Amino acid sequence: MADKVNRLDKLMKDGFLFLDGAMGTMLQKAGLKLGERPEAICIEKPEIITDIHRQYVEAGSQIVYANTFGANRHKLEGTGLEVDKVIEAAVKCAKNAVEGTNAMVALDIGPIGELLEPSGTLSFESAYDIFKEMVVIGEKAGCDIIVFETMTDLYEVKAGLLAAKENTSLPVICTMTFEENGRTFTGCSVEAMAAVLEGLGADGVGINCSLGPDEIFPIAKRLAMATTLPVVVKANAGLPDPITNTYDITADKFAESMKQYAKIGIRVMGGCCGTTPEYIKEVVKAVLPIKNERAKVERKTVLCSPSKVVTVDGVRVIGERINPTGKKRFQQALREGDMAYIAERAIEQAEAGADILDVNVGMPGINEKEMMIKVVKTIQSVCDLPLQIDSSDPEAIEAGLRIFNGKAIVNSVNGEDEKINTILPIVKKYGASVIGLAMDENGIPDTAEKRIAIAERILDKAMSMGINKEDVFIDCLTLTVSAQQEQAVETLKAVRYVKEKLGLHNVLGVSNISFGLPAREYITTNFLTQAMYAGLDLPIINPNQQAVMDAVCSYRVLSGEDVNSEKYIERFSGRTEQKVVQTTEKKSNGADSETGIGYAVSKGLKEETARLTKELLKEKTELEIINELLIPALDRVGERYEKQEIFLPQLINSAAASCEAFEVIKKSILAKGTGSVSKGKIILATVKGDIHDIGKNIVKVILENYGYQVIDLGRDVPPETVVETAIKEDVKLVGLSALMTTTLNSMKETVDMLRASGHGCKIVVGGAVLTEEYAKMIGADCYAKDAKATVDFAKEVFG
Amino acid sequence: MKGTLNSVNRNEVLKYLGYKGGATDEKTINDIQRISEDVIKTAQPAVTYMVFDIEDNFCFSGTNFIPGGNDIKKMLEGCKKAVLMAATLGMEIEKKLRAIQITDMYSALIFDCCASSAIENVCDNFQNELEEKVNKQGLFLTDRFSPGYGDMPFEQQKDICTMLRTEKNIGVSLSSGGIMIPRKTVTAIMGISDKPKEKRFRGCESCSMFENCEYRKGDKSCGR
Repeated sequence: MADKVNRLDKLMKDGFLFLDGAMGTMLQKAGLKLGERPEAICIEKPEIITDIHRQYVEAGSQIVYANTFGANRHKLEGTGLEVDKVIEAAVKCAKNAVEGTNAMVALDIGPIGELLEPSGTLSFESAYDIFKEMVVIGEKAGCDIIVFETMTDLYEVKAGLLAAKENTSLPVICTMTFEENGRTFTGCSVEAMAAVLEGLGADGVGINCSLGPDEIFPIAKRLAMATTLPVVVKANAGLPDPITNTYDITADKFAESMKQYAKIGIRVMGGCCGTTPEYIKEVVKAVLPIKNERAKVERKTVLCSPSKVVTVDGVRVIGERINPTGKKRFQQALREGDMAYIAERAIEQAEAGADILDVNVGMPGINEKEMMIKVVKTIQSVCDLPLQIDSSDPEAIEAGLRIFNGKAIVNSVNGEDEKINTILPIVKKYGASVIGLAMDENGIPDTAEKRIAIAERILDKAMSMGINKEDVFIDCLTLTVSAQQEQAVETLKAVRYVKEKLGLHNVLGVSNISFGLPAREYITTNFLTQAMYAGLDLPIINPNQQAVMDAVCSYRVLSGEDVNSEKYIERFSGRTEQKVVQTTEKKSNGADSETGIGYAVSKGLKEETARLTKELLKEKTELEIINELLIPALDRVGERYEKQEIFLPQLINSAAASCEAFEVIKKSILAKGTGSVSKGKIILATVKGDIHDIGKNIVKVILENYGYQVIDLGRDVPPETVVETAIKEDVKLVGLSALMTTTLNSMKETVDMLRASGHGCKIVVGGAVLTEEYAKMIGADCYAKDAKATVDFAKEVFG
Repeated sequence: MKGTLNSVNRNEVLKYLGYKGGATDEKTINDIQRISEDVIKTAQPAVTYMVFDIEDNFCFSGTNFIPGGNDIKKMLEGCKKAVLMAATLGMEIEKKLRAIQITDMYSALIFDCCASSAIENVCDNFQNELEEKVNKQGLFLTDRFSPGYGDMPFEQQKDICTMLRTEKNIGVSLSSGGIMIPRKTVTAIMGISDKPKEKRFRGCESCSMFENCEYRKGDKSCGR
């Protein structure tokens, strides 16, 4: 087998490698009904499958894909077929067909058939297990190579590729299915695919299905520019006709079209839906005489999520706000598992212009590895910026890299051998970029030269481990200018050297420069500007600070990146001189007059509510504001809602405004350290199997505005999780929601399990399909027809 | 293939939002307008369909699929062919809704309702286009009927997705709980008949929400 694999490697790099054509099309010709599982035929009538493979080998295919496309645990569920039996039978069919020839057998793996988180409910870890089962059986059955194909979700491919690399020694090809806009259905671009899969160690990447060869060609061309790996293409025989269910390109036209691929050096090719052995035969004949090479790929520094590629060819801002250091409110969110707060910090920075987000969750009393997984999952569910995994714990770094759907940066290693030897292998394995701090066990050197020497050492080590040069960034370190004034110049000197002489990207945490000085903004932005001029391209800053982003925006004009100053003009047009804050403000009386907080809440004026709360805190305690002003205001809004004078949108708007007040109050309490204003903890969950959570989220917002601490377990929540959390957090009230008739059973199961646990909490249920009667029948304490009703019940429970 | 989304029905959105008649304020109307435009801009409407001959027992030819319940059979009575269709707004709507829910629940709720109306528009546009084509051949299209309407089992959604290969063709898959993702997705059946058929399935009586429908609780109809 080793021979075959070596030959495969050689073929992919030097000569043409012909794959096979469609299996499904051939099976339909043999009488497979639509909707029937093609995998069953391997067991029932293996000779049909073997014959199809044989026809492909005779046509010139050097690799045949075993009929294992859908042979995963999920797709075979309920069919009576077992994964191992199907794969063994399918591989046997293929091996029988290639016997006595040079052709090889691929274990063919298609999508699981269920979407992964966050859009779907399948976890990354479960996807990994499903693929692991397949690849282990496939290798044992004698496959020569593993192919993932027709994939649309990069996360799923990542799970598969990791499963293959960690559990077998076979080479792996990954091909995804793109639409004409160059993206998959889940929004993944070819460039993101190339960056992530090349980093994870794929042996070939490519495109299959969905389109004909002419439509795929421009996308394949882009792919060939984005990766140095062999590019693989299996196009459909044109586009399908929904009436006749046939494809519109003949074998000779298909072959003619495949010539353009050969001309740009793409040499691993076959066919997908609608193609037959005849197509392969024609392709082989048509392209073999073409001897062209791939153009040399210009390597760039690329970071990405599936839908967002950030190329570091100018200043790219790394947002620093997801970090508990020195932030009490953030620490509280981590302790309480308040992921919504963290998600908001991510969105806020993205909107302020961050290109990459630093993620640090290290603090005493928190399991950093687990929290890293949770936070990365949360952020990538609401924001498509690439992440920078920031930790000193190698386990937390690995956990973050593994779960992140994209190509990340690791922050950081330094010149210490121990760091280099533990962290760089993780960086290599997950194909990340890495920041090397210009310091070692002896601390931060005080001259630029010594820092550069460390940077060079880190670069050498990284490259010796197979990390590409463009993925190594150096942090020359910012020291506080008020303490070590001469060091600012040394840092800038080192930055210039790293950029010009080493040819590497520079990272710097900027704001430290001004620590201890008044009017810090001036020093910070001035240093930032000088550093960018010296060669800093990845500043780690707070993008919410307007002056800092203004400096970046201005620099981009002067560096020529912001062509015609377009973005600059967009940012600054309409910016007028900051108005002096009104000094003759009327005193708020808190009632529903047009200046009071009650009015602001009833009208949903967020900023005004927050401002008024700050004012009120000067004369009232937090609890007084909540009990005397906010809650009565919300009650009045609630009454109007019940009377149908206002409707759900206005109710939510008021709640959102009062949310701002609560944020101000929470911060005030944290600053004073005077405990909490929580009126009690409530669990909310959308039950197992259901993913419609907007209703639950509305209820959450309203409950929080009455001062309850909501533990939001999310959607598709297993009954066990609800029970465990209720007991662990000693929660008095549990709210469950279900929108589908099909998931009402899970609700009942959850109620039963809560009751059986003996934990004496009350249960309130709601959701579109629920009724008072059903709620009673399943043993809930209350049926809430809307958010208002839930609040009323909570008041009853908590008194 | 691409679908067509050209409008979001404001009244429909208001109904989804719980307005039961009465005055609507200017802010809400403006916000619905703004968010509708965002939905239309963000959506990636896609449709896939196949046409089947129908055998005497209502089995779709070349498959093992027989639509369940009596209501759909009544609709397909006398039809020699039927269309299976699936339409979706795509994944970007799903992603955006998730993000807006974090920062702005008010807009998220309106966004959700606008998207619900938008997917109906995509289905209507496809149906109209197809009807035109069919009429030219001297044939007629019946109503559009989805699993979960009347007595047709909701679970048959899965069969329709499998036959139409929605995962591959329009990027729609089912969760283990049987929910289509992206959630703004509709599957449906239409009959092709050689004489015009009365459009039957309008009104609450054939709707599986009949018992629990919020509109009906308020003595209103959802207007279907």
